[in-house]
Amino acid sequence: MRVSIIFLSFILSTFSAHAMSDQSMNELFRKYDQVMVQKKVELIDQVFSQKFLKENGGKDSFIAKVKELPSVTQKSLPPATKVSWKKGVKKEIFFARIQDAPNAHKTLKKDIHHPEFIVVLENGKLRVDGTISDGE
Amino acid sequence: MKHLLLTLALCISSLSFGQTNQDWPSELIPVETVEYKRNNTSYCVRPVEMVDTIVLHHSETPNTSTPEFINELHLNRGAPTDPWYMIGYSYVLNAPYGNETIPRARITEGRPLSIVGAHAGSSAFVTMDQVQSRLWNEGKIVCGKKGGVFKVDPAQLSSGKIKANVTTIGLVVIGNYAPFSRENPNGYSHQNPRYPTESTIDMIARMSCQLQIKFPRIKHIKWHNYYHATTCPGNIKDHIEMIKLKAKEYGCEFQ
Repeated sequence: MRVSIIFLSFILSTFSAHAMSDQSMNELFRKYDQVMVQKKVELIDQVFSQKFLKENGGKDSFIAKVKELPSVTQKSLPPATKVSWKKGVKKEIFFARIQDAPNAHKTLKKDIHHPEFIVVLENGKLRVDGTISDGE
Repeated sequence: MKHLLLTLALCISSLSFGQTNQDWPSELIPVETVEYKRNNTSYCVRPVEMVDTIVLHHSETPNTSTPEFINELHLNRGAPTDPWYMIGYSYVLNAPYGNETIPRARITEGRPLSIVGAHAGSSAFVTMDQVQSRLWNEGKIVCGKKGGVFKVDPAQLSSGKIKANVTTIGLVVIGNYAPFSRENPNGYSHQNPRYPTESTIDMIARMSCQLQIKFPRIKHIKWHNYYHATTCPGNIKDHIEMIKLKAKEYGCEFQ
């Protein structure tokens, strides 16, 4: 029994450490851009938390908003997204910023606001749970 | 009969804000309180006379988020060795979007006014007026940890300017008033834009005026991206003049 608990703890901690690596965070935001820029809406469940989708009127409503976004050409796609992130002070919550290459905004948008994303672990997987606007 | 009408008027006023308040109607708007968890960390205190500006924000979160939820997020902000003390805003406004009925319209107290807020941006600095310079020079703005020694922190100043958080109060409207985009996944659909309702504008005006009545040095209403590159507070920024006009109806003057 004791061995099982230790083994389970080991598996969970390994899994958790993996889930919050740079690689998995970059992967999350690569898929994020696939949804939000390339409109690959079939990836939505791999990007956003269920809570986020529910709060945004459900998956269908969210997909409708994605489809409203202006289409982008392959040429104007943002370059590979680099993500800076940090763990919350107390909980398993992460705050992430997308850092685009300097020329990305020439084709995508005028202002250079870099939002801060709230990222949570849902069933051991990183998922975007929204954004936060505050004074940090 | 007169008494009956007054009672009826008081009931209607209370219902419109979803609660009763002993101070109503002598106060312009009732303010609710909740118990917030706090981190055992350092914070700065100030005389409220330091404050001359109200800064408007939107939370970017769904408009059903509670003040306690924002507090939970803020307890996780900062560096591991220096986390935020508690919610960074001094007032939290919940209100429904147009044509919606939830959440219940209310204003809740956040971080006490005597504690320097965390909302305008830690790298935003402003020029001090004479009163503020005097209070700073007298060592009235001090930082420390509960139960410990509070002392002047030179990092609050940079090139003769003071952190905007020291001279401002953060008032956040819970919700997201900017359009949906790659940078704002909680934003509104372009087909169905969200604007602050008349009732929300009125609540902001009442709260601002109530603060000015209590603290006459509060003369300005600004917005988050006045200090800091952000989309916050969305299109609430376009309604600042309307808020000031409304506040004038309650006898207040804002620049």
